[in-house]
Amino acid sequence: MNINRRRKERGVEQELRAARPEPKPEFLASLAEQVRTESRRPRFGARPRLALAGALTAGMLAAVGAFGGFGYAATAAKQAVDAVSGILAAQSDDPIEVRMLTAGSDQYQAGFAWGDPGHNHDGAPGLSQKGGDLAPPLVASCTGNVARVATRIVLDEQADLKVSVVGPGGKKLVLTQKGSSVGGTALDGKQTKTLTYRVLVPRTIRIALRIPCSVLEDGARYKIVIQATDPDGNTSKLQVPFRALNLTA
Amino acid sequence: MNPLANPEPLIRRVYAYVAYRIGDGPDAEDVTSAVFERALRYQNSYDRHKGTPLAWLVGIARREIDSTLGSQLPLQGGDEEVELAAPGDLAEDSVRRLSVAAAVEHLDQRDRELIALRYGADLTARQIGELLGMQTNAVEVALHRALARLRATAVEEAAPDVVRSAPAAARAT
Repeated sequence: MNINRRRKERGVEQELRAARPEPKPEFLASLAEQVRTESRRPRFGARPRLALAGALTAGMLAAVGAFGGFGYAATAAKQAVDAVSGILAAQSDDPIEVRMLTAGSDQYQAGFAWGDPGHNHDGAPGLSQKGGDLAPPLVASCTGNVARVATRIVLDEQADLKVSVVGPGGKKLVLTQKGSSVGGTALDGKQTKTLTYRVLVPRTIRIALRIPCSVLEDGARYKIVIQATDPDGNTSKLQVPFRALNLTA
Repeated sequence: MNPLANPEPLIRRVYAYVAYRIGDGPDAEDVTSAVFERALRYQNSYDRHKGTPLAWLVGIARREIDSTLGSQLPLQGGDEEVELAAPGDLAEDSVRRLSVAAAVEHLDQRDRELIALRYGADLTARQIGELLGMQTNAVEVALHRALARLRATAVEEAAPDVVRSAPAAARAT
């Protein structure tokens, strides 16, 4: 290989190493702390869970068998397994796994009409922040005149979302729609205090908001408030806190 | 063995890999968090005979990015205008970071993947080969070609500045 060429290549390699993107210190510290804490916590694997379900089932089988015939006990055993599995599943720390869909996924598509029973359940919509306690702390910093803050939420049934940002005094802040997005759909229009969005396909939904820097205060804490109302009128609310930092960058 | 016992260097490498693939910023933070969330959930399945903790995490990150890219979400906010300070206002280190990062963004996904694995995650050609199912030699050749394309892109990116600075240099002489 040509020596000059090799030298140039080494130069690019050095630059790539020197320019390696670094996480923000607060993000690094927070995630490292969470990983350290969580990785030390003993976890139930699938096998202990199944063993526990089996042991409880055997116990119930014996108890029911003592008071009735085996046919009755067998039915009871099946119900017991279902019940125990249900309890264990509900206590599992696994988040709901929903594949993310394309940006146009909330436009009408067959089988996803508003109120379709296949995509709705009784009771209030399940609404949570993706990552739960492990989600990184959110920070809004200004680039130019606008601060940007983004999060992901998990929604388990169809719902109308109302998204707003509330300040320390409980007042709603104005949001810049241009450049904000919900569920992969880029928004446009005048500034508003509440964004509304109909979710036809329950899934993980990314919400990216742009807030004018003039309405934020450096160091103050704010909340993204997300209200989900399902086709039956049941409502859930989620608050995702964030902090405004480096507003005068 | 706890593969996540010393998380800081792992987070740095995974973040660098993700940022070289999809761009530096909140999206890279999101994906990095998702990688560690998944790693914590499945840490019992980690087998040290199959590779280092970093290689394992990068494998998770690749799948996470593929599912994110597959969803075609606008990873950097779609048509959002990016407001950047003029190069003259930034420290030399930041300018270099900006120019190389900009050049990497112009590469195709395959080249970007190789650059991210080698210079973001700092994996060896052999480890990359194991991840991608390629021979070590083939990885080295592919990396060499990717670097050549990156260099060409970086020269193109830098060209306008050279043109702008030429008259000033001519005046000085």
